[in-house]
Amino acid sequence: MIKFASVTKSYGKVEVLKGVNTEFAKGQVSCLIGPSGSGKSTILRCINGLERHTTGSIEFDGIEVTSNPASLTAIRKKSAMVFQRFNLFPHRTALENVMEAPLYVHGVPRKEAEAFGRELLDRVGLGHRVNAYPGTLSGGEQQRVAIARALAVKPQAILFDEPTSALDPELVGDVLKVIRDLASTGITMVIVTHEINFAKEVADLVAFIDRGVIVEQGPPSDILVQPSQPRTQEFLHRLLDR
Amino acid sequence: MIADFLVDAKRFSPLLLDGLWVTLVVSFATLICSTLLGAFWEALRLSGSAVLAGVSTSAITLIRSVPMMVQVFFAYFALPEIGIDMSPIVAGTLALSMGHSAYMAENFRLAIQSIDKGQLEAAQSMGMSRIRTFSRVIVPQALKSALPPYGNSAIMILKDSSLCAVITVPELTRQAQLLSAETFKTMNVFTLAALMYAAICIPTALLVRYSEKHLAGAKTGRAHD
Repeated sequence: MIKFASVTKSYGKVEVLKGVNTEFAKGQVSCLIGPSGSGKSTILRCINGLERHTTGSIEFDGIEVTSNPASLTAIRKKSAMVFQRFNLFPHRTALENVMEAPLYVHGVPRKEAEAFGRELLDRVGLGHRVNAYPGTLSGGEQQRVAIARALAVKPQAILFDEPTSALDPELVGDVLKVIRDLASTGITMVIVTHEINFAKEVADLVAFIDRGVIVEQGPPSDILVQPSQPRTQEFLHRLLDR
Repeated sequence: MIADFLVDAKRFSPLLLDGLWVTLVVSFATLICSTLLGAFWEALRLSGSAVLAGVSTSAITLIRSVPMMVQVFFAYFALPEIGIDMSPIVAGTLALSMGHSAYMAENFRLAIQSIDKGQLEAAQSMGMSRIRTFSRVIVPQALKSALPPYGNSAIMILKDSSLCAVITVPELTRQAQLLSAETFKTMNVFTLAALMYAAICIPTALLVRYSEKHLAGAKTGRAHD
């Protein structure tokens, strides 16, 4: 579904991705873990072209990620992204946020978009807050609206960029629950996360990234339980020792 | 002294109010024109073309470095030499519009730049077109942060309209000059004129502050369910 072949990314002289090769399969949940600054968010943001990779190739559902606006738009229409800081539109209500892309990118009729929007907000537990503005919602609620917004376009894949990192600890659970429920529906998801236990539970594939390379990847039972690489072992130790 | 002022106020008010009316017409026309021209400069800057952006930046820099008074003189006294002959009020309005368009463009630029980068990324990640992103995400949010500086610009325009007195536009300052030259009641005449300017500017400032608060509320939003 999403293929990386020898992908590098440099900012000036600083190389943040140093040859990434991987594949995120259709219907699978892939979790990217690693220390901050390792390049895991960059990998995610290269998929929908929010960052442009420098060399190598990335393919999304058979479409090559290039600077060509038409192919970028095609990829973005088939995917959706959930951000660390939610990035809801503050001047629109929860429901309007969810309806935005169906109405103004995909040309879905308003009635249909609204009905589906209400259904999605209901599904993330916010059916009673459809007319609330983001500023009046808690972080956890905002992130759940953002997930409903991502689902509204029936995407082939959802890209999560540290979806719980900006949340107060007591709100993390609600958001993880929503993502966990999604995982069981068979939608393709790529999740950058620090939540190791969550990754252990939902991921089909875990990739450990450090200093711009994928150090190792595989099923969580290998990578998170008995990692073969010393860098992975050290990282997990530091996380679990907290 | 107060009795004297009140008598003069009654006597001079009709002429000064005529002037105030012209002041308001010039200011309002300037507000509209400088807004459009300022938006045009900003559109050039955002066009994606380096050449057009360069034209916009140069124009703004040039306009900002020439005194408003010189621009007024230029429009009325210099342009006729190249065959562009305008009435005082048109020349004055045009010069003020040009002069203030640079500040308007800066107001708009700062408002747009104040929007969180994440908003743009959210729109991009949806595959939203540039135009839709601009009209549905950027502009509605930029309007809010543009309002306070925009209100200040409106007040500056109102005060700068007095520059048109030097090219004989019969606005408030010009009327006050003529009256004081005729009657030698300089103190009373200019006190009245000052009060009239303040009577327009102070409510405008209050209105800006009020709408600023009101819009801030709309942005954070109140749930209406």
